[in-house]
Amino acid sequence: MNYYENIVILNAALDDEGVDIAERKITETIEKSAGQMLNVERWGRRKLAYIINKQEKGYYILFVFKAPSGTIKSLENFFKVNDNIFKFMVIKLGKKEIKALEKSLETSKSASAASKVESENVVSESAEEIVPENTPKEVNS
Amino acid sequence: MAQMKTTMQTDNMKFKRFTRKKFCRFCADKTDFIDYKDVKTLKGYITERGKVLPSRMTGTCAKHQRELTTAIKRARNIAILSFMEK
Ligand SMILES: [Zn+2]
Repeated sequence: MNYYENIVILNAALDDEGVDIAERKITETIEKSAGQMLNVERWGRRKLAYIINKQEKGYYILFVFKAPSGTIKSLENFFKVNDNIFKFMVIKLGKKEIKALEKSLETSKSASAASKVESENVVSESAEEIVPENTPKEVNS
Repeated sequence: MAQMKTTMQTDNMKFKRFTRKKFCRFCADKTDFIDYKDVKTLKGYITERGKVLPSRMTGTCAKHQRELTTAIKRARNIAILSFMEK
């Protein structure tokens, strides 16, 4: 098992639901091929430093996961057939990076446990907006 | 004449002290690794046109200069940094 960091740039025109679907699909792809998701960070819509695919903006998501090397191939295959993803970069983490990551995961765990009570109200609010029905396999088109 | 000489000497000393003062930021801060996602730090090591500054100008040690260039290349790859600024 290796540790990987994966930045994905989605089409900024995607709505929140589209982003949700893409994120879920990527997580599924990783977990289906024996990987384990450790952290997902949404950076949101950002201006690109240069134009890619005629796009000036992109929606950035950072995935951190543990996986055997075979996972990366299936992940790259998934990215290549997905039109909403126009740029991605997978990086294998080194020893020092892994150490720092484990530390940050521990602290975020204890931090999230402390703020759980506060955030629970927010979670129930947003749950109403998420309609589970209309989630076809649009991302794969 | 004597006055001019002394000012020149102090200028020289200032310059010498400045050059000697160069040191590796990353060694001094005991940075574990240079993060390609840390745009703020990376921007301090590129010219306004986007080129990587040579270590002789920044004082970065060879090891960290190598790490720095990989980090900058990664940041450019995902459009966090540009290849060339106009
Ligand atoms: Zn150094």
